[in-house]
Amino acid sequence: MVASRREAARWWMALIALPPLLATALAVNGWRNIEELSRRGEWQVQPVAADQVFAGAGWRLEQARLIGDGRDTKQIFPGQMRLVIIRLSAEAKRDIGEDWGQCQLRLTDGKGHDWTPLDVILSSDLSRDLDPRAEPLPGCSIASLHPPAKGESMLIEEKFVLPADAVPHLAVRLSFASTRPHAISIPLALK
Amino acid sequence: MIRFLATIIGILTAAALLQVFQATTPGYAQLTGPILTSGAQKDTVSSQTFSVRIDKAVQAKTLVLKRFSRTIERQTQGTWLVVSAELWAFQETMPLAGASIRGASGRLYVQTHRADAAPQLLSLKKVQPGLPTTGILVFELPEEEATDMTLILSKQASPRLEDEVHVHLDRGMIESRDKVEPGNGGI
Amino acid sequence: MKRPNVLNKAGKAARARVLAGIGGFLAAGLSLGLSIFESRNPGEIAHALPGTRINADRWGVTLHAATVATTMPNGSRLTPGKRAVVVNLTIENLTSQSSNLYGEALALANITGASRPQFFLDRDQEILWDLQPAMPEEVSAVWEVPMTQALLASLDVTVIGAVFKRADNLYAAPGWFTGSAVAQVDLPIAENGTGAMTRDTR
Repeated sequence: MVASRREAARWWMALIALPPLLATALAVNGWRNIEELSRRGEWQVQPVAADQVFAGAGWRLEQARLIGDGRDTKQIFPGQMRLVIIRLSAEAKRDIGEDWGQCQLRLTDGKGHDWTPLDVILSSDLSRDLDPRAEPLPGCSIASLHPPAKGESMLIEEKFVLPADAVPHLAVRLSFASTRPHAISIPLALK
Repeated sequence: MIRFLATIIGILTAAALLQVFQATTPGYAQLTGPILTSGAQKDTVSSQTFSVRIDKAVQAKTLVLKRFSRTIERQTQGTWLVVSAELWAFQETMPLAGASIRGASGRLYVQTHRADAAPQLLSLKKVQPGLPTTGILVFELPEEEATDMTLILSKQASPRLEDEVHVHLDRGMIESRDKVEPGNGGI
Repeated sequence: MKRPNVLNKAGKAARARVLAGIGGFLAAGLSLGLSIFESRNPGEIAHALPGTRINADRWGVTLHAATVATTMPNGSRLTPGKRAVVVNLTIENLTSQSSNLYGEALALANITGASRPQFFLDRDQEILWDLQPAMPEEVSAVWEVPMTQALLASLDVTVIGAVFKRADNLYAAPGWFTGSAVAQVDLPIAENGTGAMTRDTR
């Protein structure tokens, strides 16, 4: 009788422990998912500060060109269509290694619109059209495979097609798998 | 004895209840399926992330293409359907990887690779926010499927929890021709 | 009076355990033996004649003829040191969706070292992409085989079926899964004069 009473107590304990254990398991799982999700998105975007080191490098906007309205080159694109070419310089402050993996470089207008760069083939074709002699500069994802050594710097070029009315509000937003959810933003100040 | 019977009945009830739960729970694939927006051919059909306006739909027996400045003709035992459309992306740059026609029988006809030489294919373009993008889509399907068609478009080939736009094609608005030759200016 | 009883009880328990053990091993051994037997002697596959339509669940297949060629049907070159075994067939997509997975439906049983087949649409000699549902097409399936591989007078083509699951085990999504062989066809290899053939005639 004593044994069975102890058994009954254990049985009740197990039953009562079940709901909190289930809740804990759900919470732990949920927390893991939230963490993974936060590493995918750019939830914390900050304007880049002078001397700021981001993903092991200092970032500066080297050049931003607006093509299609006849001012930079003679080309006039139909309607609202414009080509924006940006060059970022990155100076490695430490050994970068794999830290530039899954690079995400986009243009944003602060109104919830995102433009992703043109693909590599189209981008190099355009580079050759604009300057047949110069070697096309690498894009962000190619650069991430061969990042500069510590103390050295490199230029990254990306091209975007977007409407003219977005041009005055554009900023570059940059993040890597290693930095997300943090991203930096650099205004282009194009007119 | 009564206790024993109660246990048996309890187990059977639990099993039946679980069976009901299992049978009525929607599958994972269904829960994470596409988010549908439907509309008619004459309208601009807008989802949360992009919108579509059908410009023209042409049905033909022969598809005329140019490859390396040589003209080639492609025949089919069914019919070619060439749709020209204008797309708007609202937030992000987007490809249009998913494009198919649901025919009269409910079968799904994915856009054909046999027309890859055609110019202005929407499947090779990217839609940039703020810039309307026009282009064409080419399908190959049996004649009897063409009596009732719905165009299905999405960013990915098989969208999961992403927008999918359905445009019901109006038979009266589909042009019928002998040959259709997609060009740089459309069809 | 007590001792034999206890002994008897203990003996009974032990015997039950030994019996259960033997039963378990027997069951496991039988199951293993059966699966080995089944994999060694796959059920007799139905033989079909060339020209008859074979229902391979996902695909409707009619095999017509086999030839040996030195180029691809679209004129492109073969891998050096290889020749092409070409099978002409009519194939129909019986499912409700366009698909390009028809390569899984055919296998060469009496040739080793063959590549995965490439398919060409006979209508225009170009690569066959998606096969559209309810649109049977005349196509050529091409296997590249090493020159050193001797060819018999006929090609043993196995047509493989597929299994449709309304809800798969992982995502509860409907889908097609590889099935077992549904038919075997002896296709005589026709001379077509496009290349010197070293044929093993038995």
